[in-house]
Amino acid sequence: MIRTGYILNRRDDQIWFLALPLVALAAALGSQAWLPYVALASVNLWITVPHHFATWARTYGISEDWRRFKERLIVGPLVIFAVILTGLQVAPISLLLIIALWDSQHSIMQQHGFGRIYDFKADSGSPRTPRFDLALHWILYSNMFLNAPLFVTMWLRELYRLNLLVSIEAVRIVQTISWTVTALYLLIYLLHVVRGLKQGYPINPMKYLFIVASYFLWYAAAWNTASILVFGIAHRLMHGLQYHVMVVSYMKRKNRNQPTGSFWLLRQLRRGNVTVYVMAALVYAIFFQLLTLGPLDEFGFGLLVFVDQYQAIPEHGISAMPHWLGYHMFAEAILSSVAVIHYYFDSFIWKVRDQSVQEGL
Amino acid sequence: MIRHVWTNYRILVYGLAAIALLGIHEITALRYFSAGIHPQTLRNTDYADKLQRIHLYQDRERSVARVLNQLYPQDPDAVFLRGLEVEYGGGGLTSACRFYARAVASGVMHSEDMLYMAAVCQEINRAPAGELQQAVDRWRRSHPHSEKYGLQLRFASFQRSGDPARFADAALRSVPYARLQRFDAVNMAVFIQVKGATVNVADLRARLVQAGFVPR
Repeated sequence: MIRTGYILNRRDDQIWFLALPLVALAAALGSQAWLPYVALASVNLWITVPHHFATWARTYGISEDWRRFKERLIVGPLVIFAVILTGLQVAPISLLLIIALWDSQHSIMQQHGFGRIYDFKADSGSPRTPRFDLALHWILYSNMFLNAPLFVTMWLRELYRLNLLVSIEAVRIVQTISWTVTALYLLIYLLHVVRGLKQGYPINPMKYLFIVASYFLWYAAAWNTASILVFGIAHRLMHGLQYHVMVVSYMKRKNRNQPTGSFWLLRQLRRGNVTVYVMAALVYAIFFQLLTLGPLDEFGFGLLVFVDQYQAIPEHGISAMPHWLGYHMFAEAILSSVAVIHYYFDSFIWKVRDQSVQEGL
Repeated sequence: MIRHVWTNYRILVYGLAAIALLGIHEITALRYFSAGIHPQTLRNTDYADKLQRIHLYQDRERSVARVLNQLYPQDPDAVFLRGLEVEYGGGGLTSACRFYARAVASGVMHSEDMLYMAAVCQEINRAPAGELQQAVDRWRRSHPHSEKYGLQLRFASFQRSGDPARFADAALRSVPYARLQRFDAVNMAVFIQVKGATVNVADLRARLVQAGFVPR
């Protein structure tokens, strides 16, 4: 039994959840061919940084969310910033490794969350499906992480830097186990779906198409290229843009149910005014880049080269300013903290089982 | 209280626990707080850096270079590490250059080390000016903000009396994106700290020749 449900609507879902991963992959391959490596930083600046803004808009901009999560929204950032500042000085490799792993977990949970929304919208799947879906995402993503040369090269290097030497035999055993578990689990998942159908629980084909599209992007980018640029751009485009789309839709629907807000910008965001949202997100990205003393060249995908702003101006007695001085540590802490706070907030504000959240879906 | 923390901050607790466990290992294994060559610094990075080099490519039996080369012999990062292994294992830079060139030919741009070494190889192998410029462009266009390495230009000799470094410094002073990093008298190599994506190698070389350096 098939029951189709959409997150946005038929046309928009096809664009943002099915076609986007393919377009993102093509864009990433194009970047690899025609743009320098700086393009990755530009995509990060124009897509990923504003998608953090989307989290702030929801958490601090919607009064209901602020009231519900107030303590966590205050304590969380303080704890995270303190830990990152300390970690950068005491155990930097461990800190950055855990942030990278949390980034992966965050990506898994976002795709899982969209899958849950599909089932919620279509009233499909059995009561056990959420757990089966979560395990499916973890196993598929972990399998890529443990097997794709792009990732193996990275995590092996980090382990060796930490004096954790892994033999080639150990790597091969882990990879064999990973493929075996993945194959077995796909079989188990198929049986779960068939069993659910027999028991009268429908399936939403959009959810499965979405999962296939997402993993096609990840697996194709991780296996068929040795370039971090391709994976990074493809992943950031998919993750960031889908998140933006979801936040705009969520705020609009929540506003329909509970129209509140006195501040003009927040009112516009809650009305789902896409133009205002995009403008606000871009302004946020520009401020973020300037605040962290990021290179101006990153605005232009490596195509626009600005004059270096750190040159000395001897006529005015201004010496060259090495940006790695003390402020660099502070900027690094802000960069990492912002990303981790976003991961943390998203871990509790997007629960599909939460009735309040359901109103926005 | 514990229940409250667990309910609201569980994922943070997991993260902190993971950082704490791995961090303790990192601090003890890499001996950050034991006396190093530079005890005035907080962290003993000397030991960590040395250990990293051994683990990456210097230990021929157990380095990550060996593991990656067996797993993915065609992977550009593995090929590059193989080059480092050859270079520091006694083969020298000239023997390693073919690995660096192979790694870069794959088109990857994420590793500045790889792009830089490919440019160095072009210079020491006396590649035509166009090829060297191409290699430098690839390096600088992908990592325009990096000051990790200095562009290396080699010469046959220096024909004036006086300190070659002083002459090189003076010759480069009017170039906005370049300044002298150091001069290596053994290899007659001028290391130039460059900034930005655009570096005109022929122009830099011409200025140094005018200052008294003799082309090879």
